[in-house]
Amino acid sequence: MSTTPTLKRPARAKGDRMTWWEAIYLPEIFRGLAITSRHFFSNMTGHILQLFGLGRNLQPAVTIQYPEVVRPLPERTRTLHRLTKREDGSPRCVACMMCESACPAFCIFITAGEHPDPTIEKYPVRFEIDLGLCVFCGYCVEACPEDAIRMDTGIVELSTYRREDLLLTIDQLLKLEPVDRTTPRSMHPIPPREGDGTWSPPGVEVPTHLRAGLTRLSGDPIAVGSDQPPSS
Amino acid sequence: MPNVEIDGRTIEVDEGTSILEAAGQAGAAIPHYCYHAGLSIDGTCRMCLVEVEKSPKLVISCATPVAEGMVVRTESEPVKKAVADVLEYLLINHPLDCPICDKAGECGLQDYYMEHGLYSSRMHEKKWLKGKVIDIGQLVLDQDRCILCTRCVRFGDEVVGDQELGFIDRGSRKTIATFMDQPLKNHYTGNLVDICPVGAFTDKDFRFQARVWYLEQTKSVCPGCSRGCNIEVHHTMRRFRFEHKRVYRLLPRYNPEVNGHWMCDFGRHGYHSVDSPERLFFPLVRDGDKFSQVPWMEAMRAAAEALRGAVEAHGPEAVAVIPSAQSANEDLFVLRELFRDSLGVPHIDYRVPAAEEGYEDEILIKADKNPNTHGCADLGLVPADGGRDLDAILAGCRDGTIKALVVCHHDLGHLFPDGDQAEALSGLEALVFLGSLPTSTQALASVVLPASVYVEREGTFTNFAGRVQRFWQALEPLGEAIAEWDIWVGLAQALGLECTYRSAGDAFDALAQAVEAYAGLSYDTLGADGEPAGVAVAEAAE
Ligand code: SF4
Ligand code: SF4
Ligand code: SF4
Ligand code: SF4
Repeated sequence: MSTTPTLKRPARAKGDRMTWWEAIYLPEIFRGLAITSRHFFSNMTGHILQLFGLGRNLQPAVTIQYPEVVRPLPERTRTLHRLTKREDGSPRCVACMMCESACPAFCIFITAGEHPDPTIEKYPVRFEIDLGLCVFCGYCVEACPEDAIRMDTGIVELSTYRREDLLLTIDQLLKLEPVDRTTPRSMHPIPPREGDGTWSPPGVEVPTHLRAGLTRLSGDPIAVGSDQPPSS
Repeated sequence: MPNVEIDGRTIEVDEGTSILEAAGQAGAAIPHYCYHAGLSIDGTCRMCLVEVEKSPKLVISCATPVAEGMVVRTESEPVKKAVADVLEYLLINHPLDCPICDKAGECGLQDYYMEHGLYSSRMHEKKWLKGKVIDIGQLVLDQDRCILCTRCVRFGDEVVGDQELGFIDRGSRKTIATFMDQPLKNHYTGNLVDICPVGAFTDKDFRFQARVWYLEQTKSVCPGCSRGCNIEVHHTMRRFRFEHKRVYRLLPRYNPEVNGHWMCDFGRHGYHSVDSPERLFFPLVRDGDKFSQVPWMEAMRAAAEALRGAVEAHGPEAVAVIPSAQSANEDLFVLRELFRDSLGVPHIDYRVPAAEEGYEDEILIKADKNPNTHGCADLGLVPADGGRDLDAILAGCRDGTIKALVVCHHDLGHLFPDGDQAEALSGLEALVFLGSLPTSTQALASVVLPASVYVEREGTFTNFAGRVQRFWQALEPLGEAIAEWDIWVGLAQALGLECTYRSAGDAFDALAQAVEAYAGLSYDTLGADGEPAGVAVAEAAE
């Protein structure tokens, strides 16, 4: 038989009156100071002891001097995406749009092109991730049938001065490398966007109609006067 | 009529019905590839095997007619095993291209595998490879994906009467192909993509554009010719922000009275103007040599003032209207009320000849490329007594007897073989143009009223046979375009006239009251298949 768990009301709920002891102010002040001092002295003692090789089992608090010093990330942290490459350096991605379909934030946008090699057939001319919308859920990585997208660059510093710079294009995503776990992590800049944000196999011209959306990247309004899609 | 028991349900069906069709009526879906309601029975795919009591082995349900007292089981263990076995055979050489296959999401092989297959592959042999990405005209053929159902071959034989596709080789190497990879030349190739249960055909128009699960569907009517094929508009706003594209494809919608299962390629690919960046997005008023973009109220006021000015100074005989058979019945009706009934304009003529003669065939395509010529005729948008026809209207523009001209959608350029349209129309005090796309006539207008296109509104077209068919709104209009009937209502109000239609349905119901051929029709009961006009008239005559 299960019993319904009862919630204990806190002794004093919000909005109740202060007790006389609290209302006289000074005792509570000293209580607060005592907590702060306890932490200060215990950390200081710990650090001094460890300086002399003692107190190994103590865990005094540390302050990391970010950004000069960066913490190692747990191995499975989802960090900035990258597109993996075939041996010849072309993207593994076949523009199947599974990641685009799985993305709950609707932040991936892919435009597919006709690859001259019929055994590849479809390739991404454009592959854009809007980090301003991404929630780093990793569903895109899970969804990919080709292991073409990974979130293992170790890059978590994603601040930019302009919102448009948070839209990563395919050339940027292809340039990113997996994090090197053997050397201490350092701050990575996001590689700058080059060219018009499209990719195509050597010798293949990007068809003009697939460049169509690129006005978006330069911030120009699209033809309809408003860049908000009319809701359907 | 025979009674059959299918999975425990007894139903009565017509003599000669196949078990597969009877099962459909009984609500039991039998998996099948080669059977298609619009084609003859072939029996090649062996997917539709069912168990019939007293029959020694499983029978193919598509080619077995029902008999009195037949007891059919579609879900017994032997049937399930047989279906899984057939699927396993079909997948022996199948490339499993699903990630790059446009059929994925609506693929018969995927769907039935998830429902009936679910085995793991036992094949160690290499797959037999056939041709991929073969350009056959409008379509791209992938021989690897074909499951040899022959639907496409029968479509060629029976529907377009052109045997372009066939099989070469035998056994594992049996391959669907055109002769020497020649392109398909018929005008119905898009239907192959629809009827092929797998992704062997992809339409270049839709290839790699989107995944099918992005697309929403809205019922509509093809405005490509006067046949008025029933269609489904597949659209999504999901990629609009980047691609400025909302409609991705049109698919035929079954209507036995109009188009059956099919539609032509011209109609299928005729949707691109809907998202064209050329569209007229905003009301424009002429400002010297160019247009300035103005709010709707101002454009309405400008058009109303011009029309009122012409009528007051020269009488309604100085105004002419050229309506278009591209417009829906509702638009034409409000236009008729406004110009003919309220303003008393006598010169109304919709009969603008096409710039070039339209292609026509015996299957679906009609030479008249307007969806609503019949509607224009039903509404009598031709000159009244003493009114001028099109030629006389244009002559009137030249000699100055017509002061104000209203043109809907048309490009009148080809009516001036000497190329002097601008000169001929320069004497007009006002040229009001209503339309969705720019034309050479629009470029000369003094006021441009942007109309929404058929996927952005609702209404009815009357096809060449007089069938009144409804289309539905799929998307919001781009820019500030609004529905044509609504523009005329606004213009009537700007002219101080009483005009209170609040929806296309209102206008249609008023039309049904006013026009004899449409008596008895109602917008709400028109339904997805449409209804023939003139039925009430014919009944009354009997
Ligand atoms: S991590 Fe999640 S939100 Fe970000 S792109 Fe991938 S699927 Fe979309
Ligand atoms: S799921 Fe993978 S292969 Fe498919 S589009 Fe995304 S990254 Fe490319
Ligand atoms: S035809 Fe169907 S099963 Fe075959 S690759 Fe295409 S989607 Fe996949
Ligand atoms: S191409 Fe498609 S329709 Fe034609 S036989 Fe093969 S599977 Fe059937």
